[in-house]
Amino acid sequence: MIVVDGASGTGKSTLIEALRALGFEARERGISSEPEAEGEGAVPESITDAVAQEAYVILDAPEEICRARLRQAGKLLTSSHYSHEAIARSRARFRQLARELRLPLLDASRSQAEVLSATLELLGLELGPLRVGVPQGPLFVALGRFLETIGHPIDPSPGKSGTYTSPGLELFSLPARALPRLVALGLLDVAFAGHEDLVESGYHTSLRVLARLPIEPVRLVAAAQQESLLEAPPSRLLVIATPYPTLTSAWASERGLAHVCIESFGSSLAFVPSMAELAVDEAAVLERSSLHVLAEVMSEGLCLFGRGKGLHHQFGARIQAASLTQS
Amino acid sequence: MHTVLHLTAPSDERAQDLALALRRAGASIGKVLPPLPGLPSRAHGVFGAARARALSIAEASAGVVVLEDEALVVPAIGGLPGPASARFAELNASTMQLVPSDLDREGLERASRAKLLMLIGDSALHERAASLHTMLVVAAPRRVLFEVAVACHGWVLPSAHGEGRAYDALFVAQRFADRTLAQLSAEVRSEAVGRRRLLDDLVLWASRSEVFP
Repeated sequence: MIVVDGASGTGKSTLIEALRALGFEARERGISSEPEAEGEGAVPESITDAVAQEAYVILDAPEEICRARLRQAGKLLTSSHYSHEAIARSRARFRQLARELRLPLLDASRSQAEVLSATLELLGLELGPLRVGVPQGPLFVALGRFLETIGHPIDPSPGKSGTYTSPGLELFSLPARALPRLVALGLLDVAFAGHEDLVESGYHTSLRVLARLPIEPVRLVAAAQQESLLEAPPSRLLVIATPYPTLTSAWASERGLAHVCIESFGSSLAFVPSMAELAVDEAAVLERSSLHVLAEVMSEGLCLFGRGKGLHHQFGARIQAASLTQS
Repeated sequence: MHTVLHLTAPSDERAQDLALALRRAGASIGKVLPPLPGLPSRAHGVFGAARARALSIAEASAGVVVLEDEALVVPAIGGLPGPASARFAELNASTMQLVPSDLDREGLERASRAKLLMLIGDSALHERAASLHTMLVVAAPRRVLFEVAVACHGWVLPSAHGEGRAYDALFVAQRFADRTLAQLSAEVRSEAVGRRRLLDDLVLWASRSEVFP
């Protein structure tokens, strides 16, 4: 989310409109702009906390320019909100805010196009379609149906480099396990993948999950022959067979279980109990076996994750809203 | 765009290693900062603390900083040493505040190891699970430009084996279960903890980034 702030007449609404037209999520803060928030004093914690989580832009322009723009927009300059003094007070407040938060002030006395361009540069955002990674195979088809319901039909004929297009998007159909790394490296803005693939990639800590979809849910469980294995583990290293060693190691470490993982490549049952005490695999496989299911490790469907530009784009919010409706 | 590039890493050797990797990507290094102590904030977690440190150094230096950080997490003692790994001996665990000592870097590392062993006590091996997190963050003032992290899962031994920095003589990585990190060569250690992959990612990202003209 991009939050735009500044005194009246600096062009907040115009900038927000332009950012939205480019597909970004943008809004005014609406609190610090209120007259009662103006004046001296430390920046309220509510603002400093919020600013740490968002892309914050403060517009600044001389009082005369602000008043000229307000007049042009049909505002009554006789209103106390738009007096030279009120705008000067508000401007001083935002200058103080910028100083305290160590934020640059964006010179809003320039043309609309120049202010937009400076904003994008300040936030490190590039123009152009959002680059979206989509898993290859059956998931691509399922996602295509989902995207169509939210106004993003995929053009079925791939482009020269195997990419597909949808309004405002460029879609790259790639192996699911490659997608988190490509987003982390900035080659894609967002991507869809199973949550298990995201965690297994090890990149989940540097990427943000933007939406969880009710598509292809995967339930991973831990199962063993010994029913009390997790309550009374052997006093040596626990051996775990799993096709998801990274995800499983994180789960076992969080439970304080020192362990060694054997990568089972989907045949966890073959290792338990002769070579491993515990299996972590899909519930559909382990629940059909003679093993006791001891814990749920993960139960998630497909998710949309991103970084950089992907975090400020409307696409994530749109997917999240559609997911909530459909689930 | 940005011209000043600062580096900071858990040790001078690793900072040099980082500088070498970045030079391969065409970056010119302005300054290598001495290793800085970790933040004791638990609210941030190990990743948040690394991010916060990178941002604060970038702001203070008004340039781009490449920060490598490392943290050991032991669930049996509530996730400690965590973000305070580098200065664990100075951490008051009930207030989560650092109480500065006169110890030099080596003394602080020794005292931190001793404190860790004392807190874990004589737990059996299966209760000594631990993970070593390595993080790389590139930040400009107020903006994280790139970040990657990796977790290496393993366990903590009851006594030190080998000579190494920080907790290396106590920590065993799952994939190299017969020796501690201190008993591995620098290259194998880098592979074992996943740092090699992070450096590869940093070089890949830096080579196409306009941050490093």
